[in-house]
Amino acid sequence: MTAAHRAPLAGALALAALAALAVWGAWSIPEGPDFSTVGPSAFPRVLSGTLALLAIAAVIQALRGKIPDEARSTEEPLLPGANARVGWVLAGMVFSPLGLYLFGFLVGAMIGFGTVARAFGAKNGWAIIGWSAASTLVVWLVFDKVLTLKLGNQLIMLPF
Amino acid sequence: MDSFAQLMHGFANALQPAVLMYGFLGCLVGTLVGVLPGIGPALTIALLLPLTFKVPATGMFVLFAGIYYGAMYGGSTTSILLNTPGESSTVMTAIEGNRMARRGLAGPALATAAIGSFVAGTIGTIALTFFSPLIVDAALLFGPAEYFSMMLLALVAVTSVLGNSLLRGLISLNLGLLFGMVGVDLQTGQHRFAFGQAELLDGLEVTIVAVGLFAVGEAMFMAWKGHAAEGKVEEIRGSLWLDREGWRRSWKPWLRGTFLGFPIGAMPAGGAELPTLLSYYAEKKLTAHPEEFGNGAIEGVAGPEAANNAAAAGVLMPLLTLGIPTSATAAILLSAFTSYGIAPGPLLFQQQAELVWTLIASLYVGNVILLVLNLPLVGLWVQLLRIPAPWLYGGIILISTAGLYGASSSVFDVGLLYAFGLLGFVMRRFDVPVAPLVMGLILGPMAEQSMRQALTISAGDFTTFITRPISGGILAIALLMLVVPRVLKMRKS
Repeated sequence: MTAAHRAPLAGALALAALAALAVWGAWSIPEGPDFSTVGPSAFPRVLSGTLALLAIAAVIQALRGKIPDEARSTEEPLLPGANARVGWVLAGMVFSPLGLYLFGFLVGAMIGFGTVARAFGAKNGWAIIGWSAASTLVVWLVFDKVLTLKLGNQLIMLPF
Repeated sequence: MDSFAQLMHGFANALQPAVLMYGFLGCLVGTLVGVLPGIGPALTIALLLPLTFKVPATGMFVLFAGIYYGAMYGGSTTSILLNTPGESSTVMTAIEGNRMARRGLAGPALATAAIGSFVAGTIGTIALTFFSPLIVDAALLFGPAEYFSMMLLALVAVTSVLGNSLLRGLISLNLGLLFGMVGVDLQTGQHRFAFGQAELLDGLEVTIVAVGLFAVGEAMFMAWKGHAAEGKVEEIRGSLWLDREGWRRSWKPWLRGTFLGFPIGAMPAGGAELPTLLSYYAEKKLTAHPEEFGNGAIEGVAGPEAANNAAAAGVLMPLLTLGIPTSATAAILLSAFTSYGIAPGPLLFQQQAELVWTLIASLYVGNVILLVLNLPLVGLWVQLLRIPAPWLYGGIILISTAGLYGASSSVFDVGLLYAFGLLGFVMRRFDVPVAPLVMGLILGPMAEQSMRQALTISAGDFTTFITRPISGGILAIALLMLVVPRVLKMRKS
């Protein structure tokens, strides 16, 4: 197995893990009452079983190198630093909901905006803070006040 | 009252100043979100759903219709000037349109896209006007068995357009169907795939999944690739109108695109991507200037753009007449109907005739507004495309997050949004198509419910799907769709 096969194989194995979770979830649904031919567990069992079969096929294809990987695209090659850029997005995906939970919309949304801006190549820390604060405020005003979505009455809340 | 008289009545409603204003606003917002990559009409309509408590139904649906059509117009502007398709259905436009812009023909490219969209949108809306009542008559005979067969047909149709690989397409569809099962089972109250999470009991919302896969996943993919900052917005040169030659070369592709777009869009699960693709290849075959294809041929913009807009009108037909949504946007529109206590389906045309016909009339009006609005304001849309990538994508994530958090006030939903973003990124990386997943999520639960209802009615007899003539007929079509292409392929090889 070459390095080129590794990423697709990891993807296929992740799918297999998801399929295993689905099979377990489907078989823990109790069968419905006797009078219904197709109870609540029938569809989930058939579908999770199919997914498991498809996952096995995907693993085989990945081992044979039949699954394409955009990381190796020659048409539009990956620019160096891809892991760092995805790292910033992933960090945002973890810390933005955390900030949202602990400190309210302003903090959470600014973390989300800032990390993505960093991932897209913004370097100047003050510009990132300024743009994310301004955009978040505008969105809060429009969404919460005009569109009456509920982003929280306080922009910043304290976790205690 | 026949449908023509009802349509005239609809026009009388749609042209009232207040309703017209909603239409205008919708077209403006729709074009805006169409221009921005990542934010589509589905997310925008989802953002506006909380307003449904405050605005009368007619105004709201006219607004939504404007957004829906406007996004189609806006998407083409991005494709032509930036070579980044604003929507998945304008991928083909990005090829020829952007080349035209590089050759200094951005003006005619934008003009043929806008006028073609108008022509196709109008013909598509006319078709919607006159075919819908016929479908309604047929649909009144539909029971759960027929609905199940319809949805099975839709899923078969999805599998026939699954993308580059059958395996990866089926994986996507299967994941979608499974995600559709999450939550409380409607017939027995049994919890399914909730894993002890109270937030999952209501099921996975189409908005969260679609926005996660499309907006968040796409942003992550673009960041990973690292090419976003390179996108060059082409200058608009040349007149923003078509010359005689332009008209002569555009009108046939418009019409052909329309006749491909509407029927395929109206088919369950046809969508807008397939007809734009077909139209592009048809024009490439039929053109008198084959040397220009790949180098900025006007036919390659005119045809796909028309197909795209005709398909948008087509998608509304199964939604309004059968209550079956065949795209993410249609699914959000369905939930908008439900939040007004209106159930789309054959009875809609009887019980809510005024609303339906005002909506359809406003589609005609919206097309005119968009034609008038699009070309003169194109300079404004270009400014949007010049926003530097970090702030643009930061803003897209911000709007997606705020929209979902604002609707549910649930941090769990935001986490779910990002999880689906990650899934979308992985799928994109390994060339797994995303559209079948969304279709499966929408149609899976509906298919399951109608199957179980049909079986309850038939006392558990599975033959009910075959012995009922309409249901059996639909199943036969589905079987043919599955078998015929494969037989033809085998014969060829």
